[in-house]
Amino acid sequence: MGTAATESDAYDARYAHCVAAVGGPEVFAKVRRCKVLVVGAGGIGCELLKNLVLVGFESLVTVDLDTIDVSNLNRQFLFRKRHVGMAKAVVAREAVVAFNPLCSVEALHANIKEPRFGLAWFGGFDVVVNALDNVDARRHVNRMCLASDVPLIEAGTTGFLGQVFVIRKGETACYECFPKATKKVYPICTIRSTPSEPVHCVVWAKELFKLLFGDAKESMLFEGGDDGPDASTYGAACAAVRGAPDAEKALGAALALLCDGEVRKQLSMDKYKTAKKTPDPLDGAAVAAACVAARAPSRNRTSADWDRATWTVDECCAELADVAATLAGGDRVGSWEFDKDEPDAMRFVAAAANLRSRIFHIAPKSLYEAKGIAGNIIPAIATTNAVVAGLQVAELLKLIRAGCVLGDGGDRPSVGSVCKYTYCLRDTTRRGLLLQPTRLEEPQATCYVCRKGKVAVALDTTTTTLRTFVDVVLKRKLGFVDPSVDKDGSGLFESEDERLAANLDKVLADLPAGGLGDNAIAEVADFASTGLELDVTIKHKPEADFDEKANPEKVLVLTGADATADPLREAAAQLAADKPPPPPASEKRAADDDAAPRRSARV
Amino acid sequence: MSLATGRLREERKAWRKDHPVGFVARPRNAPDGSTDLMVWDAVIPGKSGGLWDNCELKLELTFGDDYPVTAPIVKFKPILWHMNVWADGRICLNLLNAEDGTWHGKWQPSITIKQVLLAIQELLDNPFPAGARPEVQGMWEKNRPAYDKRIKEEAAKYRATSDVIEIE
Repeated sequence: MGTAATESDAYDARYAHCVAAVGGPEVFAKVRRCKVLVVGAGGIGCELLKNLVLVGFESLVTVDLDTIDVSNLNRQFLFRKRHVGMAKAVVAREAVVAFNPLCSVEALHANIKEPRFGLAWFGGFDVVVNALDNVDARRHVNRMCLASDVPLIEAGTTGFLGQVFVIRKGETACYECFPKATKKVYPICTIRSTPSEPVHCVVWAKELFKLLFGDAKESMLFEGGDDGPDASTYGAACAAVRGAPDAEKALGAALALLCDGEVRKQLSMDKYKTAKKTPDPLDGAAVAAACVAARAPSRNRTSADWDRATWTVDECCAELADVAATLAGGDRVGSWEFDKDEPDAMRFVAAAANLRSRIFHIAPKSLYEAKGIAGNIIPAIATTNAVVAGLQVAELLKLIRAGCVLGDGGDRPSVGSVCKYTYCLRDTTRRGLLLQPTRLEEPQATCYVCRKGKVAVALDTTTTTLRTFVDVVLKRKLGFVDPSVDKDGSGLFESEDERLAANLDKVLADLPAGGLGDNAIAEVADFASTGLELDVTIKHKPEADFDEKANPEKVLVLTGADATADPLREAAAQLAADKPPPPPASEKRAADDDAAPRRSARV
Repeated sequence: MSLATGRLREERKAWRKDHPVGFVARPRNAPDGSTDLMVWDAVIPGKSGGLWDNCELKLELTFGDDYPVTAPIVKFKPILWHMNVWADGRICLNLLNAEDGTWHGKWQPSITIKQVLLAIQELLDNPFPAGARPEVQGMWEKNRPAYDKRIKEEAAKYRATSDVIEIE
């Protein structure tokens, strides 16, 4: 006991300056015993862990699945060059424990979605603070916090923009009360035949990289054994590049076909009849010759702005030839996965995308620009991260002072009345502010996560398999981790139940218990994870009625108001238009200051 | 939806949300692949350190139309050599007998499948003489060494072989 008292005294002495700042000794005592989970130890996480420790929080757990990359070092200031390759959570822990040796920080190098981080585990924290960089993990933590009834302080940044808000079951809107834009998927035909944007060419180049050096069968450009009239001319040439003794020559031959022969073939098939501009094939023989001629060391790399310059066709060929042997030979061939930080892979993609752009009259991009497109890079700004992490701790202190966290068990005020939704802006408001606090929204009645809102899914029930339904609709679009599917109490799928595995390859209409046809209700639950239960109404829409370009997955998920008001009529109208659903009315609510970006600023 | 199927759906949901480690309980599939909620297959693990340690014991639970007013019929499949398992596989357990106001009949509609299976697991290591299997009970009363030896042989039949580590 004596030791404990001494340690406690030491703690109070070390943090004497914080006691008044947080609101007095009683609040500080709560700060000390508050169990905080920090999800993510990257850009926001480093700031947050530092803040929490310096304010006097003593009991922290941090989870991050990532390892440290060189590109993190400019802003994730707890990491040094010697830490590259090490687990973020572990290194961040070491750094902040050095700031305050009396605090306890547990570091877990793991994915927060793992089953071991279940509801009971989440329920053991007084508060959860998010420092994540993706929607998928945010949705998961949101659901875990709702189900275990733990307050969540969410934050995100995009360049200069950022936002911080608090989520509490039944008291505020949850992370999923307002639909989010999902990751863009490009239709295969756009990538293969009709690119119109630089990003289409970069995606094509990444797919070509996969076809040539990675798992070819997984590439959008792969055509296995299909000898139909549409069959491409380049398959054999591409296959020959792998392990070729003369990699430059083999790659040159493949590129000649891709940039010349294949384009001509598609032109002859009238694929571009309706296009505004028809593609102009490159001179295949010249491309092939340039690749072989470029065996001499690449000249353009000697220039200082090499990565920011727009390469000519010859320079592209030189780049491709220069990396050909490395990529096509060696033991990694067949297992390469594109990584923007792998210089040879990035040079290949930049050069191939450049050649592709020229054929289709799209402005070619430099390596630097292509890297940004290929890695979906949104520039992260250290200052914005620091600001939102600071605001998160400020919200946490408000929660503690108001008794919303570590309360005495009696009545406590609603989180909505205690905390704010704060935006970080790039330009000042009319009042000259860069931070704009607004009221936290109420839970939305249409939300399928926190308010049992309705969800409808339109798809072709005679061609869509249960596997696609589980993987695309439930896991990817609706954020389920380990879903089970029932109809009328009849089990259709459950990962633990091997008897049901055979159902995965059946189309929805042919499933047992009458199938999931038009207007059927799929009872979905995530019992093994977030505990979320949901009834999904199936709407049959023939495959041919989907717009391949707008919706290559041929699946339309309707949530919120779109699925609730009148699922059938609304869905029909929606489908007729085949447009993304309009934003909910609440997004348009009047702003305190109309210069501010609204919910759309959420990451 | 009858009272029985409604209750069985709830039981299934409760089980999926949370069930004891090593236990399995799930409704059987009808020939057309749909779920037959009225018959369940279950697996009970022997308690670790007990007589049936590392064993997987299979059971069948049959629910009548008047469930949960009446208890399910619970049978070991195959039939277990146990003092409280009748020769037809049914289990002699007060929890599964109709409420009769005595210690003997303790079924209540509120008893869950989880409670039933946990009680059976308990019974495995703690049999009581009640006359359900005279030949087993006779051996237990008159020749304990032979009984102990037989139990060991019986348990060996249910042991998950891959998990057995022989230690001399």
